[in-house]
Amino acid sequence: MSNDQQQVLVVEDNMITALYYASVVEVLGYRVCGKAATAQQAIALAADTHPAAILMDVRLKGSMDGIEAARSILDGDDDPHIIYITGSNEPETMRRITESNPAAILVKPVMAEQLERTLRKVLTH
Amino acid sequence: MLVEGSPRLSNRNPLLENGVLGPLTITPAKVRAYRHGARWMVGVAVLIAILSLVGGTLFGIPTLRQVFPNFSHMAPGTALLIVFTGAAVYLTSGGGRAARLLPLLLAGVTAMVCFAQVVLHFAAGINIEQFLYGTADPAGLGSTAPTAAFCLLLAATCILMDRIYGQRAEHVYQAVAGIGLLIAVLDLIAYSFDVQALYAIELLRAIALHTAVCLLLLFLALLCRRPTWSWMATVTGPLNGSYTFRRILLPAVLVPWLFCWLSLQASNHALLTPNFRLVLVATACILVLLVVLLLNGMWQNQTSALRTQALLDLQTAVAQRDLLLREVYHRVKNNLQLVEALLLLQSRKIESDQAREAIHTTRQRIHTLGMVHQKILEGADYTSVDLNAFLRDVVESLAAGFGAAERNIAVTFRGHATRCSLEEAIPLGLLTNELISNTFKHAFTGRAGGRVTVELAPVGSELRLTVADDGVGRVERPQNGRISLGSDIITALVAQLDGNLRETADNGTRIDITIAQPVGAG
Repeated sequence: MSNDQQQVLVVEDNMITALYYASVVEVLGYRVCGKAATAQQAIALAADTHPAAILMDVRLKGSMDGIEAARSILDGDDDPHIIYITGSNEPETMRRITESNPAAILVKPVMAEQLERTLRKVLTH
Repeated sequence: MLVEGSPRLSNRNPLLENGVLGPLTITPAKVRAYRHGARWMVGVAVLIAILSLVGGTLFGIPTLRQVFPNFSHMAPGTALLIVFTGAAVYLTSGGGRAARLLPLLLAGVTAMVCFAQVVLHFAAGINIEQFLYGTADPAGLGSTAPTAAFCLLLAATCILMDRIYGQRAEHVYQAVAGIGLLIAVLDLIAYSFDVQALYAIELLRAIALHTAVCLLLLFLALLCRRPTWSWMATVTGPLNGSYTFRRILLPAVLVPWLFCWLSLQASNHALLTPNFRLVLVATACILVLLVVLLLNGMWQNQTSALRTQALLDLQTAVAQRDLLLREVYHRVKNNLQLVEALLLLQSRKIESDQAREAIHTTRQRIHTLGMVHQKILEGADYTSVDLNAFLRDVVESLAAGFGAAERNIAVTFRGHATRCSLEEAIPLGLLTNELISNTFKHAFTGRAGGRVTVELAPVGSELRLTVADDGVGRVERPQNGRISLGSDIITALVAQLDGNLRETADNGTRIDITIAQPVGAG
């Protein structure tokens, strides 16, 4: 793990979309430290790799969703920036996301350029 | 069909037979049936009148009186007038074209004669024969009773005003026919009790029983030939209130009559005192009224239960539909995101700048399609899109995508609150996408900054989408010797929207697209 390359964890249950996010991350010069399809995988990977940012899909395979995964990951000690990418911006979902103190919220469909801008903004601050 | 747990309902409830969503107004077939019934009733009335005429002529009244000592005969004048009125009702009930004038003529004659009869009776105390011939009863045949004359005048009035359309005329028609019916019923009830008491009232004097029957049939026919007019609509309607009324009608009429008649017989045979008879009658009336109210309440409750259940079923069905629609739009949106992802991944493997640019443009178009699906998911009904919010998102996404802020290009969106269908939102979104993309690509070449204005505004009955810039003017850039795909797309989308495109060069480029106001416009 090189220190000058910030790591980003991709949490997305659609593998093509995960590949898409990973491609954006890599073009910006960051490193993808893992791809998780479930909340459990995301929690384990975050604990192992200490990413600087997490691209977090809300609807995930399994019993937990992305917001619950984020709550579990954020422990107040050198927390990663959570960038939510949600398929639904229903008030209830948005309320839960906002409560979990996100770095950014993107509503699908997300263009690569939009994701690039957001990632750059979050990780250069 | 009953849902488990709902109250047990009578299988005679029409709402159960028709389903809850039966007709709201009387069906044409039922109207025809009522008219058919009207023709039958009037036919019978005319037949009775003709038989009276023929019987009277053949046998003579005195002969008939020998058979029926108390025979009260129908005056020949009355019989003729009933035939006239009956013929008029019959002819207008058929709806045939031939009988337009004849019924009016017959009714007119009847009305004039009856009017004269009534006026002469009450004003001068003479009948029409006395007025015409100077003697009260020249042939000893009797004269039309004032009641009969008055009723026939009412019937003729109905026929005469039948061609006056309008709700007020319909109310008057049915009110007049209703009054006539009431008088006929009064006559018949009086006959069944004590006819002398009836004759004691001036207006109701000397009406023959079969004349009263004829009048009853005539007025029933007049009411039934217009089953959708005024209060008859409540009598004949398909809804539960009308149904309940029809079920209760016959017992409500017959039971009090029967009870009073029995009381009369009992007191005539000295089984009851007249005062106790009144007690019984009052009790019977209260009882009948209570039973009627109870039955009505029971049937109304059944209907309410059925309707509430239907409403609950409908709510469930709508919720399921919403869920399904939501899922479908969600999947469409996700698939569009997937296409966008695949295109991006492919473009990363391409060296050619031109090819990458082409894929970028395509991605932007697909992104706009995805956005419209996101917007329809945000709406409450999944059938319309908040066009204003959608176009604002498209403009913002493009401004960011083309680096407007970095290039010092000010982008303004002036919206107008409008909702539209997905079919309208997609071409409008794609059009906005193409026009703004063109502007960013071509309008500011060699400029340090600029201004782009996008406006959605109502113009009369139309909606105008304007994209204007203060750039160098739009230059059509042939790609490989061809007009760009963007221009083809713009032309196709404007055609699809049935709109008009106008391009003006005024300190830059201004493109106005006008389309008809969307159906869902608010």
